[in-house]
Amino acid sequence: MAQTTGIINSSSIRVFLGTTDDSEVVLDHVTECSISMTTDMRDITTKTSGGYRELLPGLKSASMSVSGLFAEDATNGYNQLIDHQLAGDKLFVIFTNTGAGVTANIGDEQFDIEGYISSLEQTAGVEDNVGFSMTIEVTGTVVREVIS
Amino acid sequence: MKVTIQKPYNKGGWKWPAGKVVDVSNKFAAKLKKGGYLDKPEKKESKKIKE
Repeated sequence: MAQTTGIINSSSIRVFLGTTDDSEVVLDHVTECSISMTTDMRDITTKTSGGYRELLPGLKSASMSVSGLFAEDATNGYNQLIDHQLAGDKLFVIFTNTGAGVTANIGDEQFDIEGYISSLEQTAGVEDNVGFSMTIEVTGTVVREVIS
Repeated sequence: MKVTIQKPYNKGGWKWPAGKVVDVSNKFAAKLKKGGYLDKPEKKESKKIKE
């Protein structure tokens, strides 16, 4: 398959995760996902900066957030995530584009990251879906790679 | 990609029986394929009894 052309439908972006590298399974019943990369800035302003702040890039970090619906019988859902959080499991995560199908689109790019669940919340209102939201803080390198 | 597990898989925190359909990453699918978990076991032909 070739790289996808044009604006991508956000429903095509899927999150796969597991406790072993290259053993990731899709996270079920996801309604929204996002990944955020941050670069801290080092202030190197001095008296000779001419009155303007000068910066250099410092520590880089990333986090990923997911929201979804709760299902007791999900293969990889809230019940698995809370187990991982309680056990302090390191998670291996693929944040990828599956296109219209269910297979990651070869030629596109994806994130391949590792991290720990820093927050996981289950929500239940009145006559509504039971949902969950989770944040994973990335540890180590953020890998952006071509899907092969 | 969606794959059908052809023989019980019990590794890396996953425990699936044969016949389970799972949506896995490309790399995991390749790993399962290499381990023979996606290939259907060949049917053994019953030997005809010669009379």
